[in-house]
Amino acid sequence: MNAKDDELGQLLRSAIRPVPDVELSQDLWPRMLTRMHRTGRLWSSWDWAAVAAGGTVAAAFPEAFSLLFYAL
Amino acid sequence: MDLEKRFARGDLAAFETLFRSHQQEVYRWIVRLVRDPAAAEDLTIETFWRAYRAARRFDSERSFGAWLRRIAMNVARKHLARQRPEIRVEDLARYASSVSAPEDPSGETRRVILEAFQRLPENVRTVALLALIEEVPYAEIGQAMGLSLSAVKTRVFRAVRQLRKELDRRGVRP
Repeated sequence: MNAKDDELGQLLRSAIRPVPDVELSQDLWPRMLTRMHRTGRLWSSWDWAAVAAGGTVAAAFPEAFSLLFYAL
Repeated sequence: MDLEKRFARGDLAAFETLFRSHQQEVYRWIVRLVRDPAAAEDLTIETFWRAYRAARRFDSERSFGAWLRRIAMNVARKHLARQRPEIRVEDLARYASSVSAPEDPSGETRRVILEAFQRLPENVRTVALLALIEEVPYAEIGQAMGLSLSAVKTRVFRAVRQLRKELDRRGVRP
């Protein structure tokens, strides 16, 4: 930044103060645990995409599954 | 096995250790963007929740902290996007009243500056807030936002140009 940009930066910081070094008021782990227990480990969007892809393949090529089960 | 690898395999104890060692840093990143301490706590939890759900996709060879910052940025930006206006003037001014300085601009000048800042496009404003107000190094901003160094510089340049033009038009000069 040049000197003019520095002046602009100072003007901005005089109106919009930088956030001081804030500390968390408490350890958030207990809240995190509550959140995890409340929601459970949900499936991610990737999991749902995999299920959708599998379903599409099953609908389009049902014979592929008989081949798969045969191979297993 | 190291902590990150255990986390990627869904180990809850590893997640707890990583949570406790990174929660403060994530909180600081978020509060600088949303400028609301209570909301920042909720968003910190949301960040770690998303990280936990995406643990299997985490590449344990890479930095856990950097990955987390990226998630935190997305969470904070989505939160801001749900607000109208995206960053409220009272949140921008939140820390202004707590620290007084001799060079404090008058109420009217401050209002003009805040409004000019609000008018920046979201992607430019986020970079400007971090670079010009919080003075975060460009490289760190790029890493957290998934931008190259030159993309960060371009957005700062656009912010400076637009702010200068708007402030000039309204008679406010640095």
